[in-house]
Amino acid sequence: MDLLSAYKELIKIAERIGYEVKESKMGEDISLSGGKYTIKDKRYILLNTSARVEDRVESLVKILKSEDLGPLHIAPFLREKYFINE
Amino acid sequence: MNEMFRILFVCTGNICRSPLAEGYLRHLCEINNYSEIETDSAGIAALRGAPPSKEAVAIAEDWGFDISKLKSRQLKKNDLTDFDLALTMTDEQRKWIVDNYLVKENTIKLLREFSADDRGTGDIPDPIGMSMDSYKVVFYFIKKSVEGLIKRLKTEKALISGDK
Repeated sequence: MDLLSAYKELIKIAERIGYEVKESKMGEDISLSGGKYTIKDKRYILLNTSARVEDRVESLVKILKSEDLGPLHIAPFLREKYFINE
Repeated sequence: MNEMFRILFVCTGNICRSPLAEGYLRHLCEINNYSEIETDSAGIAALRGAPPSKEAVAIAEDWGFDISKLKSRQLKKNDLTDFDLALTMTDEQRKWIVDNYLVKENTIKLLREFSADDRGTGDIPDPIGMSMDSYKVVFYFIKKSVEGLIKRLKTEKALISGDK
């Protein structure tokens, strides 16, 4: 699985656990690849499309690791690369 | 010379969102010599004299302005007449002010209404207790909104004459 596919898959996982994922070209002067926030009990992740895909992947993984992913199916490649044995 | 235009930013505790908005607007006014704008901030449930959160101070430093000396204060009813424009972070805060201070709804606006991104789509969320990345997202919303506010003031109100 290439990086872009991993990125898209991680977005799908985030959506499955209730996040609405938004992508925005925030600009390269923003030292941020992504972050989460909540408005009126609805959870969002904003991803900066000006940032490198690998940095956005890292942001998504950091957010997802703080969640209880429980029995959610995660593709083996993703599970091994990002969620096991750091 | 234009008259002063006073802008008040309002959030809940006056330790994160509204000090960042106040600090960023003041910073833009200073670097662009917009001397006709004055700004302040307050909270609808603020402790008196609390400093901004360390995350907010750090983000301000990253962007070249200092909010470390600001102190929180509670919103007062006369703020709403002393200032030309009051801007809240959330619709809930705006409604709270309208209900509790019995002011006309159209005298208070949502800050994010001025953002070119996601214009009018809603609130600027509270990052308290969240990660630094969440603070950065919140500041991004504030930054875009304050920049949009200045642009609007320049084009619609002709309030700013100090462009370098």
